[in-house]
Amino acid sequence: MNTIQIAPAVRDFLDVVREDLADLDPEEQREILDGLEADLGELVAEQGPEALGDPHAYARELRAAAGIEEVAQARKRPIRGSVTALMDACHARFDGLVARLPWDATPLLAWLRPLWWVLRGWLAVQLIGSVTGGYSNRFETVPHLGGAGWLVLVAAVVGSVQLGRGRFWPGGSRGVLARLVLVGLNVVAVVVALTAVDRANSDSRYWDGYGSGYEQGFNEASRQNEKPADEAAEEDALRFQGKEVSNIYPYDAQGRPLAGVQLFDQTGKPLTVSASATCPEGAVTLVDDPDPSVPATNEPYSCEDQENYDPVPISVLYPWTNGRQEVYNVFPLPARPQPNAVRSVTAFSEKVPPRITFPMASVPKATLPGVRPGVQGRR
Amino acid sequence: MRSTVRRMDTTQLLKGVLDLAVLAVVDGEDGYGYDIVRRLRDGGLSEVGDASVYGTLRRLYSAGALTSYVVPSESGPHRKYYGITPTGRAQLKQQRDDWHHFSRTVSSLLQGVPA
Repeated sequence: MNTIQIAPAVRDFLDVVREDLADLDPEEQREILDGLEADLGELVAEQGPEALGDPHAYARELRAAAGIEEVAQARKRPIRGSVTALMDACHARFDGLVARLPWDATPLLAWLRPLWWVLRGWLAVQLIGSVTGGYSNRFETVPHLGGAGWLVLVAAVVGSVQLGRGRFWPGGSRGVLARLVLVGLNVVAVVVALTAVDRANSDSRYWDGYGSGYEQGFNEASRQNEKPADEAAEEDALRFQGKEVSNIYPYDAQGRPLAGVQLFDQTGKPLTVSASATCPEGAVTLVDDPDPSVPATNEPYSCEDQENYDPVPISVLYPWTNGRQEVYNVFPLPARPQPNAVRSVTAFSEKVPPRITFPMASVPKATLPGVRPGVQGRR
Repeated sequence: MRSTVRRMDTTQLLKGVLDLAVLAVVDGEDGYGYDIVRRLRDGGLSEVGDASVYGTLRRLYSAGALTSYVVPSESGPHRKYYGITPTGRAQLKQQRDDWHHFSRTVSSLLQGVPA
C-alpha cells in the first residue's frame, strides 16, 4: 500500500467532510471522523480514489445514519430552526396561493420581481431624500440631494437589482440572518412606499389649499386697510409695525428738529402717509360723519371724553403743497385742533393755524464715516 | 460510481434493519469501520453505503450498544475498532425476534402471490 500517494485524496475528501460537519460538537466531530482516515485509505487501496465519491453526499449520509446528531443540533439552536421554519412556511403558503390561481402567474411573477428591485432602489433614494431633506416635506420624484440625486438613484437601482439577483450578501444566501435582513429591508421599502404615496397625495393638496387660502386672506386684508379714495393721496399710506403712519418727525444728524423734509423710497416713490386725524389720549375716536353725501369711511371724525362724553378737540393734520397739489410725503405735517376732522381751506389764515410741534426738542447725534454732521452728503 | 439518490433511499428503508445487521456482524467479531462494511457487503447487502455504516456504528455507540477502542498502527493512521456490549447483545436479540416475526407475517401475506 502506497500510503504517501493515497493520503492526499483521502485528506482532501476528509477536509470537505469535516467542513460539512463543522456545526457539530468538537467531541462529536472527532468521534465520527476518528479512524475514518484509515478506513477510507483501505477503501481507496481496494477500489482506487474514484471510490471516494462526493464528500458532501458522504457527510449527509453520515449525518442521516448517525441520526442523533441532527436532533441534538436542532435542540441546540431552536430559535434559528423555528425562524427558518416560519420563513419557509410563509414562502410555501405564498407558493400555494399562486399555484391555486386560475391562470398561470409564473410569467407575471417573473417580471414583477425585477420591477420590485428597480422600485426598491427608487424607494431607497426617497428614504435618503426625506432623511436629509430637513424641514421640507415636499414630494420630489428624484430628490435633489445636492445635485447628486440622479447619480444616487442610478447607483441605488443597480445595487437593488444586484441584491435581488443574489450577487452580494444578504441576497443569495440561505442563512437565517441573511434571510431576516432581506425581509427587513423589503419591509422598510414597503413602508417608505406607503409614506411616499401619502406625501405625494397630501403634498399637492397642501400647497394648493394653503397657497390659495393665503392669497385670499392677504387680498382681503389689503382691501380692508386700503384708504378710501382721498383726492390728494392716490398712493397707499405708509405703514409701520402693522399700523398706519400718520406723521413723521425728522431731525438732522446733529439732533436738531428738521422741518420740511421730502421723503422717497428706494424706487423713487413718495413715502406718503395717511395723515389721519388723531384724538388725544384717553378720548374715544368717533368715526361717524353725519353728512349723508359723504360715503361712510373708517376715518376718525371727532373725539369725546371717555367718562363724561364731552366733545374733545381732534388733532387734524394738514399736508404740504408742491404748488400744484397736496403732497403727503413732506414732513412733519402741521397739526390743528378742531371740533371735527374736516380740513378747512382757510386753516392757515385762521387765528389758530396748523402748527408743527416736534415731540422732542433734540435727539442724540448720529454719524456716518465720511459725512460731517450738518454737511449735505454728495453723490 | 454508485447513484447517491438511490443510496439515500436504501438508507431510509434499511435504517432499522441496518442496526440489526451491524450488531450481528460486530457480535460475531470486533471490527473496524471498513472491515464491517466489507463483511456486510460480502454477506449480501451490496447496496449499503459505507457512510451509512459509519453513522450507524456511531449511533449504536452513543446508545451504548457498542464499545470502541483504538488500535495504533505502525504504518499509517490508527484504526477504530468496535465491539458489542451486553446492552448491544440484548438489543440484537430483541431486534432479531422482531425481524423474524415481521418477515413471517409478510411471507404469509405473500403466500397466494404467483412467483
